[in-house]
Amino acid sequence: MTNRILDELLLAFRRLKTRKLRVLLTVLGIAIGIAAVLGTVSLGEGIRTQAVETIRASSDLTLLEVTPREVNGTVYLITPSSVEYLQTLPQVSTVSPVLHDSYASRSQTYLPIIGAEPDQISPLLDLRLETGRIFYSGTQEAVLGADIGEYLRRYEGMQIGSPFTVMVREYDEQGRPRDREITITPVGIFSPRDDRFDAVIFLDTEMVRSQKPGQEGYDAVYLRVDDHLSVADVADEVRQLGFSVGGAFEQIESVNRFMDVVILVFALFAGVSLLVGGLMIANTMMISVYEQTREIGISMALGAAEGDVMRLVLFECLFLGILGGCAGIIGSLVFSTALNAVGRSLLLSRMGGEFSGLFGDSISIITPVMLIAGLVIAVVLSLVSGIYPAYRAARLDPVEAMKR
Amino acid sequence: MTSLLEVEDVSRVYPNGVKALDRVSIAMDRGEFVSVLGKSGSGKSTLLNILGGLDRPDTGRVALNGETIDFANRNELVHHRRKHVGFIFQQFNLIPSFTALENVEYPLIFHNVPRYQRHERASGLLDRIGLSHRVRHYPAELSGGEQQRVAIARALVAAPLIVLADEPTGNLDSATSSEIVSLMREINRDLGISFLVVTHDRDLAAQADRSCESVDGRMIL
Repeated sequence: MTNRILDELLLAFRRLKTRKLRVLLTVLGIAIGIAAVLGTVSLGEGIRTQAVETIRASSDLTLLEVTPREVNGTVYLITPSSVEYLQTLPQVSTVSPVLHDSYASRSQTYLPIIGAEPDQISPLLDLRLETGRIFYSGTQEAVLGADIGEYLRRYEGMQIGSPFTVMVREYDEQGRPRDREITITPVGIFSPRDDRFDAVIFLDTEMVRSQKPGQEGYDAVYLRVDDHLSVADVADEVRQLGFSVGGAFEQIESVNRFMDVVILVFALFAGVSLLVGGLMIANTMMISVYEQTREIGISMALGAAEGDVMRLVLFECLFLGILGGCAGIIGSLVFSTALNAVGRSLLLSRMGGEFSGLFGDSISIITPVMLIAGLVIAVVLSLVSGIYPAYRAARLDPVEAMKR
Repeated sequence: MTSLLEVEDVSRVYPNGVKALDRVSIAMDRGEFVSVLGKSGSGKSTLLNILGGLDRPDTGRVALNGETIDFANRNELVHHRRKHVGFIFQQFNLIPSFTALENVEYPLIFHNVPRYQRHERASGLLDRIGLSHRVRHYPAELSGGEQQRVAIARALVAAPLIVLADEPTGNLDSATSSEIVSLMREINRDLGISFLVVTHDRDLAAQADRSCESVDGRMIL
């Protein structure tokens, strides 16, 4: 920075000091705008975090299900080599390729089937045995999800260790359904997971494949991602490969999309107060330039270029912006703290204790990035508001200006 | 040797039709102290504003140090004001919120001179004109004569080729006026800086090397 710029900064600062009340009011104007925007955004972020936490607590977030996708008539099949590739993705800890099918019991109970390798699927889904043992590869043994196991045992006389007849539905050349009976041997029941896998019967992959003539590749691959923060990245990568991907993370994505819109709309409303702050700066600076007309004329006669005059005005705006931004940040922190202290208990008393988990720590969240953004917005707003007054000052006729 | 200042056939008519300058020609040599005598409204201030690059002539040529000033070039005019001329005004035109020292330093900010050098130069000048005891005072705390001395120091601080003084004694009593005139002559003599002083004060004009009179926009040598 040259001496001149530094000196002009000092001059601008000195000029502000001579008009403390006006500066205070203008700074307050910006600060309220910044605090309003940061306050609404922090409240929105708080609600977003609560919603995401709620989903996270009640679902298996790091489990992804990769399925084939049809793009322009081409189906991207999941082949053993794509399974191998998925296994090499950095954030993926384990994979389990599976086949899907559905059988029926003799009493026409719908039986969703997953065909998988026993040593892959149970650690991946964190399946624990309630009774019995896991099935062996290359057999017709089955392990049942908690709900379906309970149901078949209670109502259809299924017994662990005894063969159980199920029906595979097939269609003949005329499209008529035709059931074929096969026998599986239930050898265990898993503990409840509280999700859809509780209704599933797990069988060996080759066993399921033998019942699905013409099946190529796999129907799906389950992925276990290292931590919930990488889930979205992995999902993106998998989509890039041409597969569809699903999981509980989709709920979070839709919550995020929804909250993005809500926060944006709220912030726009709060942004109106920012606009008012900007107009206040423009007004303050117009008055300031008007009052200093004579000094500006003298400065020009003494050798100030248009750029010097513009800088003197804009540097004042810069300081107003920095002060307003900092005050706004402090204001938003106070607002957020107050909201978390008072607002939280107020909300809970209205909604009842069962919602206490919903607002775990805080309902308003302020991040450092938001604070920096607040400061940047304040400074940019001030500078933009100062452009016209600065231009007016720079275009003054020095002779006329000095007559004032 | 070329003369310091050449003004040839300069005319200036204001948009309201007032003919402030009518084909004025003046030449000045280096180190000269020239006065222009005339009643108010006779176009003297307009001449100084044009010479100082604050106003532009409608026709005619102004050259300083042999170089013609291009009045259409804003940057050149800024450069001219900054480097070549120093202004002294009837109203002193000090910045009220600056101390005497800061007022004298002020033009050097636009020369990108570092703070300590500015201090040194400005204090030296204030010393020389006998105001070293007033450096921390604000203009409102100084007498008219003291304010005009500060303004003279300010006009000199950037080492100009010529000082343009517009009624420098117009707001001063006669005793103070003669002090100010002596100070300007002294500076002219000691530092060799040229002065062009516009005035209606015949006593002041009498002290100049040369004096010309301005009547209705015409200059009479």
